[in-house]
Amino acid sequence: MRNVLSYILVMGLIGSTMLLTVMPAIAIGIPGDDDGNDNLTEKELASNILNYMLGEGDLSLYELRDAAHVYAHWNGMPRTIVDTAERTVTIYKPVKTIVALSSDSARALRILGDEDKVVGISETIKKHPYYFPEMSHRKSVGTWKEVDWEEIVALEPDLLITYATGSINADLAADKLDPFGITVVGLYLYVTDEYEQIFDEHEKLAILLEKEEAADKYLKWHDGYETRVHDFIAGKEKPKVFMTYTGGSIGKIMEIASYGPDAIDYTLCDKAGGSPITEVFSTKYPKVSAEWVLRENPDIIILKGGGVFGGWDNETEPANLIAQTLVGKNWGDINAIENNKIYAVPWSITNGLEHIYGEVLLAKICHPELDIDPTEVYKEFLEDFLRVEYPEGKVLVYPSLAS
Amino acid sequence: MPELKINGTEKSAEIKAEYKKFIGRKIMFIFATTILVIIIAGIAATLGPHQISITEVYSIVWYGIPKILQNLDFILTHSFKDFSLTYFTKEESIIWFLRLPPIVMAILAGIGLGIAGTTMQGVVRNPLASPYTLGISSAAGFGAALAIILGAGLATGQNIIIAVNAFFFALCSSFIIYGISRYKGVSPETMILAGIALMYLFSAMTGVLQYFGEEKAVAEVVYWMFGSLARASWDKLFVMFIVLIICIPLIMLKSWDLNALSAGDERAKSLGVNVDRTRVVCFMLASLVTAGVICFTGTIGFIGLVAPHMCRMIIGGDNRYLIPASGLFGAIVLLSASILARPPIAPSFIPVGLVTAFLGVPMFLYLILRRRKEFW
Amino acid sequence: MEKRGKMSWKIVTLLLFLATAAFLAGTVTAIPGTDGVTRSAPADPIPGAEFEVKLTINGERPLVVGIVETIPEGFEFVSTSHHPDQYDVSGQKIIFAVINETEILYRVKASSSGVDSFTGTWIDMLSQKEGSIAGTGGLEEGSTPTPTPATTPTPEVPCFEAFFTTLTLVIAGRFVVLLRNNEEGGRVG
Repeated sequence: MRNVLSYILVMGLIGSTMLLTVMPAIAIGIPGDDDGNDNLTEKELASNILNYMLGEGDLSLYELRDAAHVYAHWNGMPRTIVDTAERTVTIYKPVKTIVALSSDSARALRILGDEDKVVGISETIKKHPYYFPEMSHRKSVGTWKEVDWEEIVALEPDLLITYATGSINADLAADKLDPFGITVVGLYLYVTDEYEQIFDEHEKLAILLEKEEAADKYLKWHDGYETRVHDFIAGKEKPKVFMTYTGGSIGKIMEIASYGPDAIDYTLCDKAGGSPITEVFSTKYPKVSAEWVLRENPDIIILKGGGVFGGWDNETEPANLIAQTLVGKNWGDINAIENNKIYAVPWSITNGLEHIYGEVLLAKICHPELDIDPTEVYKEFLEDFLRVEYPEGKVLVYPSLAS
Repeated sequence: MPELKINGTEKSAEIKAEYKKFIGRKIMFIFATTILVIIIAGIAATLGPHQISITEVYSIVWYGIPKILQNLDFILTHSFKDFSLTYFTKEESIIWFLRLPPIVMAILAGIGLGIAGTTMQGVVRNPLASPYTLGISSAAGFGAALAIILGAGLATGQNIIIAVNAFFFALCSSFIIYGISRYKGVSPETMILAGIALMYLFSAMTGVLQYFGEEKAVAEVVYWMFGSLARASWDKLFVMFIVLIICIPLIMLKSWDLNALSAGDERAKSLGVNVDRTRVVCFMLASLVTAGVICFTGTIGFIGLVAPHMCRMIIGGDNRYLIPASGLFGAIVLLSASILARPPIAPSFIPVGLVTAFLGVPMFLYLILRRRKEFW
Repeated sequence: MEKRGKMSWKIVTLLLFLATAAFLAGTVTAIPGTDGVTRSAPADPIPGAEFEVKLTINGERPLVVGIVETIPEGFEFVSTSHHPDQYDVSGQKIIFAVINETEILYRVKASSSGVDSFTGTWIDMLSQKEGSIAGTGGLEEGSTPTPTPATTPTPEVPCFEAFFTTLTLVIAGRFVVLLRNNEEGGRVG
């Protein structure tokens, strides 16, 4: 009997504590929005200013300035977006401090010009001081798979940017950080299989950070090149392209990996006026045999160097990569090999916001008569948008294209 | 032997005294492990970038509970998180939302896996039985991989989908084993062989998924399989707790029958135990516990193998004591591992599943080498 | 000939440098918020009579400014045309919340006993600036109205501006010296 009673008691106790966790959705509210209706009126702002000036307000000057900003620039309303994790993300005051958990978001922040707001980073960002000169020196809070939530809390950021899915996904992050009033936004900011998503995400981030102009500038620049490529390849015959990749955990296996129609590299190749021979596959990352490639006889082979970020330091590495790839393949009769049209490119070219460089490069490989110099595109991206100098001597494609 | 000359009552009194001493030792062990769990949990709660002393930790937990209970209406009308923003200081929120969940998860998972392991070893009368060897872990891994790789890009409710999938497949594998044993007769051999077959099957299926998966997603799967307490949150713990609180008392009720089973099926039958039923019920309960734990933590299966053995070496094979003892011991191992998984050079972490193995194996080997007695 | 070419190149560089500096300084000042608040009031109010005080908030919209006016002992606040929700009176202090307005008018009754000075401070809520209110038609004691030096805004931006201007001047000065030296050197050679 006593057992049963204590059993019920413990159950009830724990049950009641646990019930509490049911609903997330938390409202912090605009500073000074006294009636909490998410609309800061002139009257509310005025009364808070009066109280502050009288020395008896609830708001600090810091909060009052946030309130004034929201009233003057946001029309007194919070800014809301729906992130890629399909969460409604609302900010009630200007974002002044950010923790960025991916190099993709770090790049987006540089394009938007908000790198100075970053107070915490992930290890990946730390690895690229060249591209993120300020951010790479900020406090590192973890890796893609595990972060120290307490470190993040200690940094008191207004906003945390993480991927929509994955180990540190937005839902999990919000679970951990909501109790501290830290807003979480889940954005990939790399090119996903839904091609348009990255632009959408970039714009959403710009809305949260009030940097719509910078986002528009990037988009216009990107679209300019995309249209030029599109117009140029219209009606032209598409060469057969085989795209493969090396390195990483999968690439080390003997099979040859490629991209199926659902993969973004396939889409980009198609946009660049190439015809991927992997059209028939239904899987995203089909594995093919050397013999199959031989039979398909592609005109061009593109070899993506796994893990290579922003180019090689010398030509030997990509040359070796190509040589290794060809070992034992018996591909001598393939058009691409006969005509010396096998190219090694860094992994990063089709990934992030610089993917337009990848697209132009692929277009130039498929249609050498295209009048855009891919290197110029990359240079513009680095110098005009990331605001770092173009690193001379980096190999961005091997062998180099005749211009 | 001189004892034989002693008359009946004296002998029985002596045996009783001996037995009581024996039982007393077992109860002492359980008591000591409970205390140890509380102490280690306290130490674990002080570790982190924010300097919060052990007394502060205890007082935050102690005063936090009435604070929560007093404001139940606020919490129910708003949310636990709003409550923490309104009523908790930063330190309190750190303890309640960031530090306690992984600790409680370590305790619950350790208890669950330890008990599930003991039960399975009892059911199949085999020292090698564990959630690993019976295919449950790899089935859960497959479920998670399925959700991670095929669901890549599926953002809404991803964390729940992964857990539900892992849970579902873990139970699937045990249902298959159950089905096979029903068909072929419930013998330990069929169960183990079917379990091992399933383990290979699910591992292969996970392999296929990984082979065709995107690199990022594959890395996620591998990471999931290492096991981690970092995903802990109160709602997950609630579910885990419910599973444990239902299953463990039921297993305990069957502990005497499990003792009978260890003497052999024939002997157990002669003692009036429904062998097949006991075996199936206990197996399913242990599977449920395992599934309820590893669907949230990832595969930390090693504890299920080691904790029962270590306890058996210390307090013997009586399941009535062995089951709770190995549960508590599992909690100690997992808690200690979670402390060691957090090296001083933050922010680098070692997956707790790996630390468990590194921590457990030397202890295990030491005990095997020290003791000469046969346990099986 | 060649020398003159070099000279003119140097002058062009100098001019370009100055132009850039001026442009940069210009962009620095173009930040939101007010540039200061000034007060105008009759210089010699008749004791016992009502008179009007005008506060002018310099700057472009959007504007959000908090103002505390302290009227002298013995003076009495009468009324203001400012929105009733946006001002408050506490003792000798009149507090205004100014939202997107550039002018505030209020009436006070002068004391019969004498004249004293008005003081006031303002805090800009949209920038980091704050300062005290400068008087234009002062109520200062004595016949020689010494106008308070124009707004003395405290923090960053104005400081930076001053620093920048000084720096520019110093560098320009150095350039001139350098040029002259070179010229002389040229003559000698």
